[in-house]
Amino acid sequence: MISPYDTLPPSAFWRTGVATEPPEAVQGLYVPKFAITKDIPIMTAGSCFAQHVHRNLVDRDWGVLDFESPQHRFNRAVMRRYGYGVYSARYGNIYSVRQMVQLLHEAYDIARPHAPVWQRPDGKYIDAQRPAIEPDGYGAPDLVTDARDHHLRNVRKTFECTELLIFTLGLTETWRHTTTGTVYPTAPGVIGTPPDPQEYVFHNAGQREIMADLATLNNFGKSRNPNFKLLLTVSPVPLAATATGGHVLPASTYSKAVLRSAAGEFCRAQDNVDYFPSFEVITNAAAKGQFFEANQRSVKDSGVTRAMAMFFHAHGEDVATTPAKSRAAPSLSDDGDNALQCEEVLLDPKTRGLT
Amino acid sequence: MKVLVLGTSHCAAVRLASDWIARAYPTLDVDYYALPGAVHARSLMIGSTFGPTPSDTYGCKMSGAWNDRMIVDLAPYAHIFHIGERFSMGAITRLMADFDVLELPERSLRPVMSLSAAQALIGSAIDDVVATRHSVFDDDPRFTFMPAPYPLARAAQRGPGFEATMARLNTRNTAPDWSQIYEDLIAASLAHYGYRFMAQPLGTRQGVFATKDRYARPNSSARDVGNKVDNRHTNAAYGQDIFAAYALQQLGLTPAMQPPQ
Repeated sequence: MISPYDTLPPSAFWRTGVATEPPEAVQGLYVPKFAITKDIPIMTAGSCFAQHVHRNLVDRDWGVLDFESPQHRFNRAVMRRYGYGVYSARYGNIYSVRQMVQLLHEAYDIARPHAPVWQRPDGKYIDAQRPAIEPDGYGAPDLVTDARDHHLRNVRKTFECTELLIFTLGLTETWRHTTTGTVYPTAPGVIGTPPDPQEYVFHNAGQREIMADLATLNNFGKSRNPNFKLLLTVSPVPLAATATGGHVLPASTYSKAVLRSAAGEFCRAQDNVDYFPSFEVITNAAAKGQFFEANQRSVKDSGVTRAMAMFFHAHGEDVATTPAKSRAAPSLSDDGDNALQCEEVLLDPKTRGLT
Repeated sequence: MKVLVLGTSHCAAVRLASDWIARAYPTLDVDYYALPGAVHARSLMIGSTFGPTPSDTYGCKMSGAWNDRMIVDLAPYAHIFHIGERFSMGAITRLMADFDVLELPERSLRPVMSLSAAQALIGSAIDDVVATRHSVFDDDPRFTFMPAPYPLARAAQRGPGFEATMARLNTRNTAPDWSQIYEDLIAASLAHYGYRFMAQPLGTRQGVFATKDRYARPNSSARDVGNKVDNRHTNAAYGQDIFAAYALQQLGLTPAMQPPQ
């Protein structure tokens, strides 16, 4: 009698699938469930790592939607500082699926988040759902709501045109308003403070909750477009800080495990949802941490390049060529990929004031 | 006092007025050196001389044709009037035409951008240009920069030479605000490197972002030349007016005779 493992391909075994494979080019890691072509309208969103995904797709002239940024390629660092060209709309980092659902519901006037305007210590106001989008803050609360209304119109327009949402899951830990359940990308007091700071609590989502939010997101997408597809990734970037009261390392492992598990289980059940294993490329034990910067958190360009090469290769893009857009704009200054906008890093008091 | 008019094809307007300038400013000894915009942008300083590099065959050919010399020595000049830099005008005016400013009352169907973001984006685009100029000319307080003129007012008409962005921008209530932002940022960026700035004189403008049609080059309209219309270059009258403005603002000189109208 032969064992069920006897007929499996080399990729099914750790020794031949991982240990003896070059960590930068593991074969068979990503077998797409559906084809993604260069001209399909793509919306990108998610945690910090999603900025890499967006930039790489744009640089190779894939059909990434962006109705909110200036047409010309202004200085990339300045664009990024103000949230232009970072994602398909100027929503900043969306760390949780719940926040993504909340944004779409707000854009479609289904529900409004609680306390959309918070105040900074310097007296300036911020958009609580995208607190770093205006580094100088807003001079008055009505400017925040005015800017947000315009932004929401763009979000809606973008989502209406989207056939593929690439969403990077980042965190399970979030802060939410006790009564309404509104979630926020940062805790009260990190960048700004809400008018009712005592009414916010820490919440650490579990797998079932993430699954439910993914289902809501996917169903909403399909309700707007029968051809809607969802490509999930999990950010390999560990938590900058945890509010669980425990050590950040197991907290980070828990968070990533829950997100990865939810993504896997949800993807298995839905024909229009796929998972892209950038997390595995970066965190693969055989890579021995080579894709992380010295802070053991930020992902090196080489890691991003490897992950995205896997994506492009799987979808028929020649990754040996230089990205077309980079060639077209040689004079624009760019201070590197590690200047990602990441509010989460501000959880560490030593890094505050960086924005 | 020796003055050099240096720059791109837009120097031609001043050169066309050279006879009048010589009569109106007898204390000035004005020379001219111009190159096509693309050649000017890649030309370099070698010692105290400026011009296309010897390997730039096209640049050398154009320099010879336009200036009767390959290079110009900047050393003898007390002042340098640099004309024709565009300061990312295309990208910036497109932004100004496409966005409302959050802090200003005008609301159209355009997206909204905060004043802070607009200033940062426009400022960085200008800074890139000025830094590039500085990498060529280094610290040199003799320089006064004046941008290329805005397109002629007639460029707002559809057809050959139509300037869609400028046409849209000029109809906006926020055009004066945008103009102020743009020109303040150019002035600030130039000042950072010790250069001076002279905006296109208001008297030469039709509205905010257009040049009066009376400054059109002869035989340059669609009626005259069909598709080869030129709505960007100007005539001797424009050269007289901008040189007079330069002489007054930067040298404190008034002309011995008024420019002919």
